[in-house]
Amino acid sequence: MDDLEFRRTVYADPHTEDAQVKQSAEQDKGKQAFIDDMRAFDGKLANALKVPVPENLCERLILRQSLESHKQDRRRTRWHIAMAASVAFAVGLTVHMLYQPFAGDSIGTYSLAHVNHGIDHLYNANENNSVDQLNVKLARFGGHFNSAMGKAIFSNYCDFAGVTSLHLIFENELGRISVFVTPADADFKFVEDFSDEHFVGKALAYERAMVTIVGDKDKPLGDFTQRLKDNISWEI
Amino acid sequence: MASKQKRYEALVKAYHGDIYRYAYWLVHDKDIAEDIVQETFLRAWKALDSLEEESKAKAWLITILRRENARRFERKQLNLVDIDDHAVADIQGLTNEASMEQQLIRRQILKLSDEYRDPLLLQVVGGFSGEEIADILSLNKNTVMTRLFRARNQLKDNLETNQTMGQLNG
Repeated sequence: MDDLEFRRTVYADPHTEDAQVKQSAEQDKGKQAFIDDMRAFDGKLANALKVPVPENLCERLILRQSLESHKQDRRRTRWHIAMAASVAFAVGLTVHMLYQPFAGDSIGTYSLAHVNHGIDHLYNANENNSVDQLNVKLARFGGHFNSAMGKAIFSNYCDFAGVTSLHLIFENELGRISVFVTPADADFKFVEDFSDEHFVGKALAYERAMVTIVGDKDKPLGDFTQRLKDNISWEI
Repeated sequence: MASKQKRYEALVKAYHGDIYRYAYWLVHDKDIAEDIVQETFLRAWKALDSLEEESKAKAWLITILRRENARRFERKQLNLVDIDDHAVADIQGLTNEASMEQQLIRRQILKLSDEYRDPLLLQVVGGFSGEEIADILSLNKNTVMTRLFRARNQLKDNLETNQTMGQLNG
């Protein structure tokens, strides 16, 4: 190891365990002294960087977390007691209020608004719904999945501009895809394709229900729409 | 739940000091540093299940903190303050507990560019190895070692120049 390399290595890490550095230092007292110097300098550096930590920071961090989890617990309890109410209702209400002046909007507009406003639970959802669980909810609209559509990480009724609808989220190789099922007699304009800056979607009209599918704009829906069509059957 | 709680508390106790100091030197402001540390630990709590190895906890927290700091910039892009004015003001707030030499070193640390200061903080405050720093900063190890060398080299040069000037003036 030449002199320059030695100095660079020690400068980069005065406490280096590099075998060549150690060997050079054993053979040369000057080099050992250089290492000692650099270590002393590093000690000063470490002391200078040791700014005082605010008093009770540790306790405050623990307190803040326990307050936060208390809040979450309460939310969770409510969620269980009033399935369709709570979060979904709040989200629905927001969408409802925001879009009130545009009543009669297309089903696409509502679907996009819903995905955008519920974006947190789109990314936080991690349920694992069986196809039977989905079918129980879908039965209300007269629909039925013949087999599982991949991992269903969220399923709940939501308020869709005052109309009770079903919101499902599937996770697959295309990311997270929302599916909304809305009763056909609700007053929405049918528009087959829709999108905004983040999401892209498609609507399907059936006799008893309208189904919209919304996915990430970067990952087009691919054959998901077709698979859904093939996999869902409706009571006549 | 109880074990998650214990795990979190152990994490806070073990690392809050180093994480706070790292945050302080990243943002040069006591209050902002504390805010970011609060956000960091809150996120850590929410994502605690994703931390698989306790030995990686510190690097994991540092990564969360760096992301949190980047978010702060995205949010506050429009009302940025001049970081130099800010830094000097805040450094003076720390005067009481520091010796003259420490203050001198602190000023010089603040004068380093971010690309040199960052790896140095991770090494000296965080106690990370070259490989770990490379991981955290998404750089290769050679680049990290070169920056560490330059950081100390600049610090030493500047401090020596300062001392010489001090002697001349004195």
